[in-house]
Amino acid sequence: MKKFIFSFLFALVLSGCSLNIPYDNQFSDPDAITTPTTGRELLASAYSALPNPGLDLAVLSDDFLNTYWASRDPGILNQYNWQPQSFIDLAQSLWPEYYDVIVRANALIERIPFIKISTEADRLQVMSLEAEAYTLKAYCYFNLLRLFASDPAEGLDKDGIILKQKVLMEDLPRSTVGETIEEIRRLLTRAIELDPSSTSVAWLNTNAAKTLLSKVELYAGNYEEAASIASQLIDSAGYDVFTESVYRTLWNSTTCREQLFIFDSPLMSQYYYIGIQYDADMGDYFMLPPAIASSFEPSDCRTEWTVVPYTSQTLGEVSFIGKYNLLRRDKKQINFVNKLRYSDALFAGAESYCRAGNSTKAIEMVNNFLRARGASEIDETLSGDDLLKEILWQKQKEFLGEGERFFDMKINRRLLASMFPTRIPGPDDYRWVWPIPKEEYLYNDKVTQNPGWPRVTFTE
Amino acid sequence: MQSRIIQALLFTLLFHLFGGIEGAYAQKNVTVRGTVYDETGETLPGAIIKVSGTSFATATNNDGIYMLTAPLKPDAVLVYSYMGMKPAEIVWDGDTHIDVTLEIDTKSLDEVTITADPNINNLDIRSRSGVVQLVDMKRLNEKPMIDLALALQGSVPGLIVTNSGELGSKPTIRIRGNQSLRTGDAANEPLYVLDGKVISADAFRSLNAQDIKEIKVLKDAAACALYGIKAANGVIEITSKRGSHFGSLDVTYTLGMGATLKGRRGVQVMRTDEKLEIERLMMNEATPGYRYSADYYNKMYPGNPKLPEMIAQGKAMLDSLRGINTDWFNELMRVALYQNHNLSVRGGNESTSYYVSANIATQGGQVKGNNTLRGTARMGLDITLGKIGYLTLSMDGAYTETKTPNGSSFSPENLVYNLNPYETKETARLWSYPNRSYNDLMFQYRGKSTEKRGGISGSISLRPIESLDILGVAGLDFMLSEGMQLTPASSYSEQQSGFSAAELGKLNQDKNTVLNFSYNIRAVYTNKFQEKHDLTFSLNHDYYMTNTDNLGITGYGVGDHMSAALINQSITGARKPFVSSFKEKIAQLGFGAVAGYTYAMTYDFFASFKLDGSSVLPSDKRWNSAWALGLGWTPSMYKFLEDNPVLTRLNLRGSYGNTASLAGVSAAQTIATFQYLEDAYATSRILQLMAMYNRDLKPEHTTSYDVGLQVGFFNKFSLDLKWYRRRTADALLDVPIAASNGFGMMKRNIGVLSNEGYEAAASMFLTIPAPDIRVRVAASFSYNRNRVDDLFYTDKLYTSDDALIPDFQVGKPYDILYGLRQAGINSVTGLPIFIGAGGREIVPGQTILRRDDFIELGHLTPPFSGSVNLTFSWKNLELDADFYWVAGGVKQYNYTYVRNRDDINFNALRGLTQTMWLRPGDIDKIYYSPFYSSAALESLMYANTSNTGSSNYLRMSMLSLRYVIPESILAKTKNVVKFASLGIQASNLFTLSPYKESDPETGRLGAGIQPVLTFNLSVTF
Repeated sequence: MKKFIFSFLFALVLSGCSLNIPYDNQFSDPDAITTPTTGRELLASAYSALPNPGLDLAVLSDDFLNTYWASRDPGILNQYNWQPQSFIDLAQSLWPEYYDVIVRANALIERIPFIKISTEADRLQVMSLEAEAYTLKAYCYFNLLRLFASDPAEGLDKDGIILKQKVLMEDLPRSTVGETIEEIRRLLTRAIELDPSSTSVAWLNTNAAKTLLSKVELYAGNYEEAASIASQLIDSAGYDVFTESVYRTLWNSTTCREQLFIFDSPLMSQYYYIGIQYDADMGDYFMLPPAIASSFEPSDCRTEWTVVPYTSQTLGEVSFIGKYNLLRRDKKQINFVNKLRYSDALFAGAESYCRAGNSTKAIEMVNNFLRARGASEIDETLSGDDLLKEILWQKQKEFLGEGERFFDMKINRRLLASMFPTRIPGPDDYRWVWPIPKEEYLYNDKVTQNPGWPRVTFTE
Repeated sequence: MQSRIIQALLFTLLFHLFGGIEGAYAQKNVTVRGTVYDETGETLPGAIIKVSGTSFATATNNDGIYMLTAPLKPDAVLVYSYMGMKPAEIVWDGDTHIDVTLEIDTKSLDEVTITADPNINNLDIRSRSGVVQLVDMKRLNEKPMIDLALALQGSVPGLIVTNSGELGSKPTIRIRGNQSLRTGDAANEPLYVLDGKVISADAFRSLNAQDIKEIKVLKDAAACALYGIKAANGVIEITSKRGSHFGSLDVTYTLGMGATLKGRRGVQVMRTDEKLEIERLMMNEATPGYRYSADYYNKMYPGNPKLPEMIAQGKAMLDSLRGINTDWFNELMRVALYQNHNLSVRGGNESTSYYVSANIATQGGQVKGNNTLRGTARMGLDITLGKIGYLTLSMDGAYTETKTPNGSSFSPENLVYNLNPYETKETARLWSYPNRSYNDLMFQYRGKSTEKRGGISGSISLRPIESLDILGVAGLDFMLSEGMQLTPASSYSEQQSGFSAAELGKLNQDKNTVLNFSYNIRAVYTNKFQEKHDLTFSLNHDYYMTNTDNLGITGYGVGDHMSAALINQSITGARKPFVSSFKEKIAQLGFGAVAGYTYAMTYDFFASFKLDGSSVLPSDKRWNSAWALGLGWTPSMYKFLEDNPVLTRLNLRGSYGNTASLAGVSAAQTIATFQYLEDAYATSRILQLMAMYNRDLKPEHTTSYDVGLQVGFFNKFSLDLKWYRRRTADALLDVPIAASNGFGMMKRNIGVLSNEGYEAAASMFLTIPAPDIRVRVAASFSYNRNRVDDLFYTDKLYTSDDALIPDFQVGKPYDILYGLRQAGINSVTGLPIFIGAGGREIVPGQTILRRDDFIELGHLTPPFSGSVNLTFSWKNLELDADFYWVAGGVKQYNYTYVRNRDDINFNALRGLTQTMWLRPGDIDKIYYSPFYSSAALESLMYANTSNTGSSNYLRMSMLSLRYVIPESILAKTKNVVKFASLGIQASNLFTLSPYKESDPETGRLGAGIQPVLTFNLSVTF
């Protein structure tokens, strides 16, 4: 009897219970992001969502030649041969992936005003978070712009990309190329003003933002500005960041001085570059073109890490790409992916000086760099397009297999077209500007499709 | 053996404790036995038999059979009563066998004896205008099946239970179909209430049918309204058995023992000769039929001098294979043991009564190693609190253990169709699975899961003043599910994984606890005045809380041991130990009011309102309401119809309801919500935005209309017709949004849908008194159809970008299977000819398919279903048979057993050498050319008119033949044995279906409901 009365009373007491029951592992607004730590954790979700398209872009570029094994995989061979469907497929994965990062960065930006600041350290931390979120957005916008829009030189009023400011379901039109560049510049400038002082290269610090800005200004044609930012960066870092003792840790340590920004997620990175292997023992789908492989001198500190000699009955004597592929071949863990390093700033600076007509400064930068690497220097008498070609060649060697070459081939395609292998189309081909994926246009009537690409509808 | 020991123990116990008492009264007492029926011929369990003017009384058992022992004098009056029935008074004339049929009470508002019912929402007024249907517990108990949910299949029209796979897997249970566009249990599952407390679907499945007094299925708004928005998908209300108030003690032991049979053979596969021949014809070098054929040698070594020798060697090889003919169905499928022991003790006196039971049951699955064991125990105690009320207390517990040998890759049900007839368990290198032996396929995986459940509930019922009842019920239900899965280091997949020996052997272990707590407090005011008016008002407040706490670990390096303690915690990298956890507490709070009025038992009026709040949702969306109105009219109560012998019952009823529901919606979908991931980035944890939230999300609004008609003729024939229509506005669905939003999907209110149907149930009862024959035939039928009435943003909705076929289309049902029209097979190419839009011909691999090429092939969910129940009894022999059928559905065959050149290393459908296109010029073939891999040809993958079949089926769901031991024999036990029966029971003996593959219900090649055949014994002391 007592038991019943007790349980009855117990029940009555419980009815006073509030329905505000917090989850153990879920946090809703407005109590979710209120400290610098939760802000950092939210931003970590944005970083961890960054795509790593390096291999896919390298396959499209002239970094590789197909081996016999490529014929065993029609998908990868189609991509190598620039089949339109491959671009549709790539766009289908990359476009949503970059916007995924952007929306997560926006989620943080919207909540920055609500983070409680009690100490000076908190204030600095929050400033850093804000700056990093801007830089991360700029990084994504820049890659989207380079893939999905035409070059600035073709007109700043051409269609750029969708600029997303809010975490909200909206159907937005594409901004112009000019507007996009202006937005990226605004984000980076603001980030640099906030001066994020993170010591870890897993987070986008001021130097990373500056490097990105120099690349953006080069892309936009503001050569003086780009050269100035880049040379300041290199001067303050010194050319010894390019020496052998630093380089040898570039692919397997997260504390290499040459790094500016790395994708620091071991779980996601472990599969990076796995797609190049046909079979661990039988070899890769792609090899390095002999001209590139043989251009690496033994004294060059990059040679060992970049060129992997391989001999088999089927393939003969060939060279495979090293770097992440070498780590995998050596059965070592791939724990991170390099995203930005001082070489980015160096080549942005050198190219900008060259384009601005300052050949001396350009050659000086490149030769200082090559000397540190242990490679032969370039001819000091070069100038104009010849010098530009030489700089782009040196840049291709530096970033071999990392996908950077695709962007250079795209923006310099009129200059370089004569050197392209036959599978890569001429400069006027529509495929240089990637298609907007149907994940976007099927649900967003305001978005336009790029010329030459289909826009299927559900009723077809 | 077990049963004998229990019997012996029981006898000893009884003789010692009660034998003496029995003996002392035996000389003076007379024992009367018999059965109490209702007017449709159904037996009435729980009917009360009293000797007028004395305190001697008893009640009928589950079978409606009673045994009354009392010092009867001639002219003693026996009163038979049952709630809602006219009591019958019979003057005793010395007969020791009296059968009685009670009629529905049409006149008085007589109050019936209060019996303890902890289901305090079970208000009388509810069932007068709402749709509350009872499950026939007697028939349910005759089905030898462990899963209570599966046993319910066909028991009530409109309650659709669909088996989903092998033994132990959860079936889908729906009352009147889905009323949401969202599939899955979260948005469509009914609410389960046991003795007033809310329990989970899993807890419901583990209940022992023999402990249940009644199961009510509440279908319409008026019936469900008292439960509020939780009951948007209907309610299944279970009342457990209680003790008896008549001073008697009943001990019942029931035994069911038998076998689970192998079930239906899916498709017949090839025997060795045909298999080797088709291999030769398909020219796949990875098969012996071609590799050792003369064709192969002639092609590979033309002109080679050793050619004749090679051909002879090949022939010898083939001849040796021809000597083997393994029937893998017989090898892998088995007959398993089924056992069910149940012991219950029931007794009490006028103030206290009790019911205690224990049950243990085992059922073996189709494949070796798959079985379920369940033990349950239950106790119910009722205490009368003087004249002001009563208390009930119930406790129950269950233990369920399910073992499965099926890993993800090689389940025995697939192996039956994949292994070749020329392969044996000893074959060292299988052709079907190159480089593997049979042992490499089996012993890949071991899994075991257990569920431990415990529950306690108590209720109080007080009548402090006349006309006012204060009722309260509170209950706690706890479920612990534990699972462990091992992929041993010695398994093929681990051996091939490439990890070092110290990292082999994968173990998953998880422990999940669910705690449900609920209470309900209700005040009921009832007033019956002037003999005609019956008024009820009631207010209630309820609370429901569920607390989920899950923990899982995955680790490596355990070798072949099924123990988490052996996980190698020094491993880093991809195989490092991994912990996952999920914790959630959600609560619902509700306030309700209800009013009912009945005039002269002829007109009924019912209105209810319930406001429910949920902790899952942000405070501005938290409170939602459900209300209902009901009307009932019983013209058969009019004076001029009252004693009409032809029309004995006529009742019309209708209800209207409105429910707002956000069931299945979580906070993350309406407000920015963040969750930690198990992964990390650099030195930081990852706190991730869970979904693109929709601040404008509104609840789904369902309005429902129900109309019902009940007619009874001659007290022998009854007909029950129902029509319902439910319209859900602002229907919720996860729909694709533009990728630039950062998320691909968002939950939105996307449209309006409707769901309507008919239900009919008829029964006929016939007695032929002379040879004592009773025949009862009952049949039910239900039809359900749904339709998308409107979509807000489009007229066709595709939930995937690649879909050629819309998932939802205005004006169409939402479970349609679309496909292509096939017009035979091209005799030159061997490929199917499809006819597309406007009669254009579609050449597979060449023509690009358009959306308008697809036509409707039929409903994926069969809209029609029904059951037929037959009872035939003659003297002490009773035969019951139940049939269940569904109609109007289609399913695509999975056709895995129709091989192409690439997978002919697996066994194939028997007769394929005749029915498949194999060479140009073949005409009138059923299956297209094997020389194209289906993956390469998009159009071959879609459903079409020839690879789809009707999924209709007719199943004999129950067959029971029982012999009730005659009273003359029982009398010889000095009435120590009050009741005994022997019988044979079977469930799901056969399934007839035009569907060519194994199981039309699950659509899976194996895994249908298996037949169970048992011998049955039941003794009550």
